[in-house]
Amino acid sequence: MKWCIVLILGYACLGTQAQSTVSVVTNLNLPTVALLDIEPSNASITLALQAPVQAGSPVTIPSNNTSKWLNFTSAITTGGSRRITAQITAGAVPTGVRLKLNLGSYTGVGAGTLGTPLSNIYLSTTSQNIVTGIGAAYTGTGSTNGYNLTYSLEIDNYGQLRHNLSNTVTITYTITDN
Amino acid sequence: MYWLNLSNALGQNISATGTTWNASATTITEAGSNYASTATSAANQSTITITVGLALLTSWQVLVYKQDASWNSNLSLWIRKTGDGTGILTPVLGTISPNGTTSYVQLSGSNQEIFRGFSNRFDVPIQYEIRGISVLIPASNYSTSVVFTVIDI
Repeated sequence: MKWCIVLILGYACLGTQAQSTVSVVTNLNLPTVALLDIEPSNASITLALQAPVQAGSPVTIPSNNTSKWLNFTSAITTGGSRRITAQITAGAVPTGVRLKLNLGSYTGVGAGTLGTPLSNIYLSTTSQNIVTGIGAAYTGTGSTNGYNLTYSLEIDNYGQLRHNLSNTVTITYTITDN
Repeated sequence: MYWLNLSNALGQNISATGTTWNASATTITEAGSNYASTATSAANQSTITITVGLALLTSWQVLVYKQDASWNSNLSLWIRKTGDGTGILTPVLGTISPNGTTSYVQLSGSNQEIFRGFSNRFDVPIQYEIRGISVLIPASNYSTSVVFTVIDI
C-alpha cells in the first residue's frame, strides 16, 4: 500500500493532465432510388362512348376517369434530376378517338422537389414527358398522394368511328434520369 | 528518466472495439415512401475500455466529439452508454457515473462528457443513432469519426 501511495504522489508531481483518444468511424450509405407506382391499383379502367338516343345528336363522351394516382420516390445525387414519361405499350386507341391524360397539381404528405406536371397529353406509342424536373422527393403513398391522373376520350374524327369497336390499351409509366 | 517511465506507467489509456459502424438506410419497398428517419446501431456497437496503469486511484472522464469526413448537416449523430462494463473490485474501485443506460446525446464538433469513473473500467458498451435520414438528402456515402478522449480529473 505504501508503494502505491508513493507512485500516486509522484504522478501528481508531474503536473500534467494525461489523456488518450480513440476513434470510431460511422458510415452511412444513402443509395439512389427511383420507384414509381399507380394507386390504388393497376386495375383497368373503362372509358366508353355512348350512342345517341336521338337522331342527329353526337355520341356522348364518357366522364373523365380520375381514379388513379401516381406515387413516386426519388433519391438522387446532388444536381441530378428525373422525369416521368408515359406511352402506350400495348393495344391501340380505337380509330377516330384520342386518349388524353391530364395531371393535377401535386397533393399529399410528401416533400422535396416534386417536379412539374404537364397537361393535355395525347397518349401514343411515343414516350412523352408527363412530369419533369423531379429531384430528391417522395409523394406519400396511396390515393390522394402524388399526382392525380385524369383520363379522358376525345373524338378526333367522327368519320373514323366504328360501331362496337373496343380495344384494351396498356399505358406504361417510367421514371428516368435526365 | 525515472519520471518519464513513471508517467507512462501511470497515464490512463482508452481503447475501443467495434471501431467501424456501417449504417444503412431502410430499403424502400413502396413508391412514395421515405426512408425511416433513424438508423440505430447494436447496443454494444463499440465497447470502451479505460485503463489507468498503476495509478489505480485515478478519476477520469470520457469526452466525445465527432469529426466529419463527409457529412450532411441534416443528419445528426447521437450516442449513449447502454451499460457499465466491468470494473475491478467494484464498488470500491472501478466506479462509473452515470450508471446503466443513459439518454442519447447529440454529438457536435466540440468535446462533451458522456461518462466518468474511477480506476480501471472495461468494455463499456456504446450505442449510436443517426437521425434525419431522408431521401431528400443527396444520395452519397457519408462518414464521420467519433473521437473518445479520456482525461484525468
